[in-house]
Amino acid sequence: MSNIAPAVARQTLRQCSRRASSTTTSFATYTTPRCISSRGQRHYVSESSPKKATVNVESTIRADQKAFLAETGMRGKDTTLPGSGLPGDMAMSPSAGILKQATVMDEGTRPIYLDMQATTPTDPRVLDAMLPFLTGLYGNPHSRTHAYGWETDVAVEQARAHIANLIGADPKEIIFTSGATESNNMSIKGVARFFKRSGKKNHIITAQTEHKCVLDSCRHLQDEGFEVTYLPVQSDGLISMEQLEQAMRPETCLVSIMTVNNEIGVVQPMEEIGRLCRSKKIFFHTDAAQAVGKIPIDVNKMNVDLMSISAHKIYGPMGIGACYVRRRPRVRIDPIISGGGQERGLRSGTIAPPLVIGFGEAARICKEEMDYDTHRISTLSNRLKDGLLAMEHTSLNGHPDRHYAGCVNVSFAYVEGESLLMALKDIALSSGSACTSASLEPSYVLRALGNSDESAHSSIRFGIGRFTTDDEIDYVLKAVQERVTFLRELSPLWELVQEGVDLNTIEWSQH
Amino acid sequence: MSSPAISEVLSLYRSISRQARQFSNYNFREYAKRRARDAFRDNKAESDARRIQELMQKGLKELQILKRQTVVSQFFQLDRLVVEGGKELKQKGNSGGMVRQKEHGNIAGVNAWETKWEITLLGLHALAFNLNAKRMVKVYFTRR
Repeated sequence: MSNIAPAVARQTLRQCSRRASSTTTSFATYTTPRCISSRGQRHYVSESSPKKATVNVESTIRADQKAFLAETGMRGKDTTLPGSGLPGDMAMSPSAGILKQATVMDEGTRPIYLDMQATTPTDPRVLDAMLPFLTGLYGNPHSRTHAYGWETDVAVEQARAHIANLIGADPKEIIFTSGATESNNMSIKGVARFFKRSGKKNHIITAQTEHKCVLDSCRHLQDEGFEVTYLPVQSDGLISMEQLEQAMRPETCLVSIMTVNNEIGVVQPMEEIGRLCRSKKIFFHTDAAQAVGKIPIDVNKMNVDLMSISAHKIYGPMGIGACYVRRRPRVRIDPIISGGGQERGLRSGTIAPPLVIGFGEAARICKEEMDYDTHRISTLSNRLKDGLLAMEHTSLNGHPDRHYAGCVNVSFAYVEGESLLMALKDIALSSGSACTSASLEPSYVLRALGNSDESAHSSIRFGIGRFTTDDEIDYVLKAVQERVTFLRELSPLWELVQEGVDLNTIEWSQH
Repeated sequence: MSSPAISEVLSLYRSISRQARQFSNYNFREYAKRRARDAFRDNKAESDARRIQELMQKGLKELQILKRQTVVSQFFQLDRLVVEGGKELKQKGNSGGMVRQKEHGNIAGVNAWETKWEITLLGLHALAFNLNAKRMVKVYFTRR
């Protein structure tokens, strides 16, 4: 949006100078040499110093304005440039105009990034670990016959160890995939299809607030003849353990519950679910893309059998993820991708060493910095949450305590979420997951919490990460407060609320 | 193993924070400065010589990474963030104004127009970009 003004200005200036060349009395051509002449006499040999190189735009423009006034009897401010609504000031001095544009650009036009649930910026340390493998060390890690293969293989295994260490697993249990979506598909379809061959177990339990790829995999399995239970969640986003236990049947083969929800940041009671599943001999899969590296995770303590991990949510590169597949007791899965038998035959295909190594480094940094990052993110999160909830008619979605601090989902009543996002163009935000941000449908996660359509429409997710600064939070708080107030002023509903009318009592006329 | 002198530690800190300022990306720059400051502060009371040696080695490694990554960062410069401009203006308010990081080229000081978002309702919520032209632009070129 902000790019339009400089573009228009540039075009106008170009037109003016073109027109000026055909007419003789235009100020544009007249003033061009003035920029130079106003600096006084220049000699062939002059001392070079920073001071000499300084162009004082202000005095140049003032000189131009004076000249224009003397010539036309009008002030530049009062005239407009033909073909655009810009003031005549703009063309007083073409070079000044360009400088002005440059300053506006220089002032900063990129929005603040607060959508850390969608993806996170790649950490420079991660990039630094990746670069050697993108340039010189290009061996195929599966090549066992030469040094190029060996050196890459060593680095890949080290990366695998870092990831295993982050979740308390054995390196052999980590399978590299293309991302959490592939891991989810592999786990759910793989376990289900493996059991289908034996023909006994054909029931899967998942939750309504799961990520789309889990829900869609389950729906796909329904077409193949599986039965799927979509557990409802409570109004705070947590699943109820009693409901889960009731939903379990003797033929249940898999429970899939995500650790941290991507939209509301609710942390599910993993240890209890894991214990329950283990006692009933049901495999437990969790989508931990939003949790790994952000909250402490131990697959053995949580009794997790399968876990999906994504690199680009932990400041790693995009296009790589991992699936934890337990070895003892062994989880047998039917591979989706078959081929050369890499990765224990569960996911064939050459793995991408630069991405894997970046992923490993990201995991190592996350493990090392977890205390520091957690402390910092929760400080910023509390500041943001308190500031937003201090506004009237706002509410936090999800459980207030069993909650990952880096995800703050707030509903602003009587404001339309999409128009607020439009008004907050200088902040990169989302009203829900990135996958569904293209549609105007209200978020199904918030609907599952029992929120009304209006409330689901008016909620915004703020994602805080390692690189978020205090200034950004202050800016966001100020911007949100200003613009929510502004949008509410426009809303007739808000007027009614201010008058004390209960909106539920109004009978809206149908048409 | 002898413990490194205080001057060595301080010198490492200075090099790291000086290098950290070279990031062209605002978020990385702020993070690197903050992380270095907090790391040195947290380990201020460390007395174990072996541990200090380890930390120094780690710091030197981080400095090497910073040196490489700041160069990469400077190759791929993007527009500045909206939040950066405001801070600059505040900082140079009283000093007559013109303090500015060197890494952003030769524009020494900027006191630009206030850009202001105004929202108009024309059927849809359309946004108009309003340039507040009352304030003059001061751009000073200096040579580095």
